[in-house]
Amino acid sequence: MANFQKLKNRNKLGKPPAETAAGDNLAAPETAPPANEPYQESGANVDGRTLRASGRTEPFATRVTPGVRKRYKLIAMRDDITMGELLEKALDSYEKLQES
Amino acid sequence: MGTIIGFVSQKGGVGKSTLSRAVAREAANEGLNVKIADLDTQQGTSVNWHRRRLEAELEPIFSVEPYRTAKQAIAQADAYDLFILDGPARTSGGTLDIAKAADLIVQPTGASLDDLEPAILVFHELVKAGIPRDKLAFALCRVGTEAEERECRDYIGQARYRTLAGCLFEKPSYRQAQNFGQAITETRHASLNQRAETLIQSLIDSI
Repeated sequence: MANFQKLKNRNKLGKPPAETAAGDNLAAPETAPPANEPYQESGANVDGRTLRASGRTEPFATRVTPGVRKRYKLIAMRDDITMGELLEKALDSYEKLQES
Repeated sequence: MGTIIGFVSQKGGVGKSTLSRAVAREAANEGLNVKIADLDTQQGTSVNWHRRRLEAELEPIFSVEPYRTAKQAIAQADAYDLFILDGPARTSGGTLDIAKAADLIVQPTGASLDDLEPAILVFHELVKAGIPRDKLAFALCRVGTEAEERECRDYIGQARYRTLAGCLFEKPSYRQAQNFGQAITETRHASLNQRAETLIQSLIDSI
């Protein structure tokens, strides 16, 4: 009768991972940021300090039609500029037109 | 300078705190000045267990303190005969700090491939980072049968790491003891205490 002992002794767990499979977890920071820290999208962080740095500190509210408001916002979004920047550009263009 | 033992793992629930407490309890029982540094401030597993132990007025008394980082804890190690770093369930730069400072790094693991594979990879990373293999040891915890224990030893041996003698079988009595602030060497069952002591002795002999 054939001896199957060698096959019976085979480890059911298989082979352990090779050393080359080691990841890079040791490079991860030890402490994670606090869970309650507010999420901030980079580049979209507009707070009081940002406004002061750009000099845009004054509120500017006016009444426009819904269509103008939508157009205005879409242009600002398309060109990735703030509504304040778009207003400044619009003013500059207007003055240039008046001068020409 | 005293001895530092580090318990590390990528996973939770494998036995880091269980073994930390047992080693601390046995060392304190032998008159050593011991501290467990609980590095998992979010869970504070060993800190909470210590509170239960103090409320139950169990002897011997030793110190358990939470630390935010391994470096902060290691800076206090000189004041103790035995300083135990009970690591968080995560591998990071802190794990490397533990490994560099410790005289022995123990990684408890369960018997499933889900536990064994990431455990082997953690030690691979430490070896790659320059930690000597002879400072690394596995401790088998939550094992079901002796056959399972043998298979785990063989698997770990194939990866050229050593496994401490003895193992902890999955027993409700170990959990119940710890629920009351006891260590796994303090259960009501002499045979379970003896098994745990064998593992602890093997760990101490490995330093």
